[in-house]
Amino acid sequence: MLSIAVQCNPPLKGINHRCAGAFLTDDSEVYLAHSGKIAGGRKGIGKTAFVNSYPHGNWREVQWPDGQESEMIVIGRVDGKRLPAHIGQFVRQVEKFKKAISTGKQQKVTVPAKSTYSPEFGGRKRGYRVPGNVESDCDHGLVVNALAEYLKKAAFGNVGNDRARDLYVLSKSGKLRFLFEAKTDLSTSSIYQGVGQLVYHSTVTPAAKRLLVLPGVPNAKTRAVLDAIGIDVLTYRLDGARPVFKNLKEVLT
Amino acid sequence: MFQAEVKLEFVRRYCPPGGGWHVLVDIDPSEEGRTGGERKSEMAKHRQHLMHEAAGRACQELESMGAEVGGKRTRWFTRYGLPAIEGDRDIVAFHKVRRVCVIAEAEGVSGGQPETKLYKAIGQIVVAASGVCPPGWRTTFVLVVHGREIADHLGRVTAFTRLGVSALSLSDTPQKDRWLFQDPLLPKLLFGEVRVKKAEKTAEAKT
Repeated sequence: MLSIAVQCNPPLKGINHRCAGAFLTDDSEVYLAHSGKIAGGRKGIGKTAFVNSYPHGNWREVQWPDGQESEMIVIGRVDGKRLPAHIGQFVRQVEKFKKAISTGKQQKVTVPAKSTYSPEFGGRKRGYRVPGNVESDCDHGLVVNALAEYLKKAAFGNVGNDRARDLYVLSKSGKLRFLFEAKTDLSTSSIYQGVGQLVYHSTVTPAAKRLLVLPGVPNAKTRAVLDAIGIDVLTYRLDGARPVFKNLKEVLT
Repeated sequence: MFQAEVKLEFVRRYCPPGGGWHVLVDIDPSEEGRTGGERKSEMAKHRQHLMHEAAGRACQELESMGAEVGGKRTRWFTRYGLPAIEGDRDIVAFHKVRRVCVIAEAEGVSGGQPETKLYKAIGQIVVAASGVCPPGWRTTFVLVVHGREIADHLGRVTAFTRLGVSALSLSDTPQKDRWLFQDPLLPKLLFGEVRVKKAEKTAEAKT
């Protein structure tokens, strides 16, 4: 028998803050969004717990027509080709959260001592976004999850993520082998931010290799700078909703 | 302090044009609240108004001190016979007598999580630090922040000093400013207690 994992129910008309679903617009596109209000009839399942368990969601500040402000998870563009994949990932994220609560294995969002990996839906950490990347940020989860799957299958080590880091791989002895930060556009702002994240986190916990995951090859000048500061670039393209990594084997050697 | 005010106070306290510094400051439209679409709530409108006012005031004061705000960067370097620094750095300051060049990135109060913009600033300063330093100048890199949370976050990465990067937590008063980590010579360089010889080689200038 099938069961309901999550409801995303925008009101038929007007504003209803009690509904978890909403359609958002940035004055050009329309997006499906969720408030994070998760119900499940079990102790521990609720919005606060879900929000805390899901820092990698594509959280955005929303201004309502009645003047209120709140944060919502942007699931995807309603007429976007990858909307089914984006919805699928969001549903799996909620399902995983509920399962973790019911089995008492809810992950803490602090940096773990050992590697853990929570499949993510999309977007980056809360508040890390710049306006204009709403849709591409929905792909973030697709990219990170696909990369995590590959790394797990290839048995590169213990694959994990946490609130601060998109993805990392620990060696058997627990040392940080690879640290990944994924961006869904090639803007200067995104690249600076990725560099900052990689440098910051690898300073706190030294990583053998730091990789910036990008949807294309940055220009020669940027590549030279990244090379000089010891950051490798892993590039990908989206084949439908499936990320295809171009130089994965090369950068992991 | 908003970002523009952080820039103003850093220049005023650490590299004032009146003290022999040539200073170039970049003020981004986002610092003036001119990006991000129409604000709908009263709170957002008020914040935007405050940002706009603060940026205007900061620009005016910087210019009255003798700093260059915005404008053609290449022309500015040429005008004062200074070596060109690549990229839109928040603050570039040269002291010709002391042969010191300060490159700074600043972050102030903003919406969202404190680390949001900090990562970008770190990326910018790391990229700047990886560039070629002008020969014959002691080039130093500073991350300037305002606000307890952002300072606490930045204070965890003292290892940045290995990259030649220092970090300053700017307070409301200069007496309460706090170096989170620093190039040990930096305060002396800023205040003229140490000078760099003009003939110094590039490699020495970077260390």
